[in-house]
Amino acid sequence: MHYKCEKCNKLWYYPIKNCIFCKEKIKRIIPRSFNVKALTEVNSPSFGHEKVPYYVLLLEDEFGNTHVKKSYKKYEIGNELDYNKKGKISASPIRYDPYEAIERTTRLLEGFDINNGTKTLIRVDLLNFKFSLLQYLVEFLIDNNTKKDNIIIVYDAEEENRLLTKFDIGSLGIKTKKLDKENLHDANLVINLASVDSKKEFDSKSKSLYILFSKIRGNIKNQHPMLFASFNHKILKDALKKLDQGKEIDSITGEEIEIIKDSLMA
Amino acid sequence: MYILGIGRTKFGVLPESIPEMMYASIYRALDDANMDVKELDAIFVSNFIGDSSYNQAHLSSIASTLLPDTNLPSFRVEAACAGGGVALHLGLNTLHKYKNILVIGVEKMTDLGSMESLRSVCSATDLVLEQKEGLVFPAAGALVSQQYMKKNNVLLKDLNLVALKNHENANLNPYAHFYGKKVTEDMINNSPIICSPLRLFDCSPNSDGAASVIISNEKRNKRAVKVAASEMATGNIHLAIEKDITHFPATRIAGEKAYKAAGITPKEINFAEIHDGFTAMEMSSMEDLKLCKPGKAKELVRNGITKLNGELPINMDGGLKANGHPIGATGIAQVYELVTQLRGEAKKRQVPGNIGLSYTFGALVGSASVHILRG
Repeated sequence: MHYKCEKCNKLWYYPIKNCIFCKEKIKRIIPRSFNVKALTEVNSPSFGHEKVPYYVLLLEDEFGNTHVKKSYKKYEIGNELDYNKKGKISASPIRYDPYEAIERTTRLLEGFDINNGTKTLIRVDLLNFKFSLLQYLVEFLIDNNTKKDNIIIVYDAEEENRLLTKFDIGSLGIKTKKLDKENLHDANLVINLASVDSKKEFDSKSKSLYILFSKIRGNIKNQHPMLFASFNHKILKDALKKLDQGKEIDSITGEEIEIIKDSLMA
Repeated sequence: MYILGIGRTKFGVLPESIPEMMYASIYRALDDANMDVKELDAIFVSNFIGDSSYNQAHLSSIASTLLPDTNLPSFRVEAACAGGGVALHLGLNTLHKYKNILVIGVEKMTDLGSMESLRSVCSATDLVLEQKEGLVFPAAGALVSQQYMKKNNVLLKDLNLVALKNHENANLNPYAHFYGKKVTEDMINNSPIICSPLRLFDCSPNSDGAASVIISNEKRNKRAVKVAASEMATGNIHLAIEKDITHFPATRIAGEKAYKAAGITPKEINFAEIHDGFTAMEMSSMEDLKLCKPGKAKELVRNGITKLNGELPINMDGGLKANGHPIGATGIAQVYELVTQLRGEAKKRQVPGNIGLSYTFGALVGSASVHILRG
């Protein structure tokens, strides 16, 4: 994702709000397709990248901007990056901009099917709740044609006090409701939003996270569980591994979890 | 502005600690300048990974501790691999305040494991956009090399020629990391691929070492060498921001400013020390510095123009590739070589000429430093 001043034509790779040259508002540039411009096979392990070989791709998007990306899949120069695998859980690290992570998780799921009539329900996991992530998700949905009135934030009844006293949910201008089966079935789109920020946090909350992903599935279509971590790939990797291993809980629904990961997580 | 004295240690796998290496290079520089330590007015120290890898920061104070009771103003400078050049640039720009300045570069690297050293050196890149994506430095160098080779029809054989030349030169430099190591093309072709297409011999080594220079506005003796230009420019830390990763604006701008300040054209450069962290970067940097036309560096390399007996010798001391690359010291060591050449004291690797250029960069290319010296 890039940030561009359309007046000055300056480009940033960091989330910038206003242009330092002309003070204009910055526009987010969201690329959708990536071609491999160059690549290298890395054979030297380093901390955080112990498994070799891996590939570092220099990708060019449809705007002509380039990106560096790690991959365990071998590509050839000129190949298009393969993001097209459907799944039930999408996970992405947050790099500099949570908005980018949200955009990326939707891309991993082939995007949301959203129109201005889509009733969207965001289920928040308060044990791992990041208010800013919720703010960005709402912004993303509105940017993608969801009507504000059609968005509902739901939460477990026992967590009501925490949600309403600790966070300024009202500032979002979005309806909130306690979670029940009815409001789940009324929705066209259900997003399970969770974040993991520390290993300790994940260790203590992994069960609830897992349940969050598993118990809501089943009869509901258009569910998009999303998991985020504050750019700590290792924690997110560990989280995904634990979810992968949680088959006994998954048997409640009798479904196999298919986790679609950003290729960073592979 | 003049370089009055130079001193360095051998580069390589050294048993000495950071303070010991610093002291050895300072001692030799003072001796070379025929200067009493009490005549120094300030110190600049370049170091890159002392704090991140050895938990040894505050090298400015170590420098002061090595010169007891002097209590000089002392500054630590960090600009990744360009640190030595940038420290010298800063020192030269404070000569209006301090009369005689000691500029030191030092690095300890070889007792880190390869995984730790890759991590440490990688700290010069963007944490989120590059480090997390596995873009270790050889990988960045590989992407640049691949694009440069593709664009300019450069062959792996051309990269071999750069490595062979720099190893040949290092064999004439007793201070070089690979002094005494006979390198053949077969050895290069059979060496492991670190990051495709780069093999081991395309990458500069991790080295220990220190180098020092003493600078002044006053030409104290005939051996003093004039600094005709000292320039620095910066660029993006993130490689992918560049639309064309085969050439870098920071290098071009620092070079252009340096030629202007020295009042010369690139054609007047007789020899150069050019940052060859990766073999292809020696070639692309020659083009960015306008030492040859874009895409033509390969012809200079193939025709032996950049060898010691060529018309434009490059990396007479062996370059980063074979002289070694103790990161914080590298930019100072390049200037050490220029001064040695301009004084006519380079013995078997002596080349003719009275104008030399040094160029070093940090990351690809976040910091670029160019110096032009005149004999």
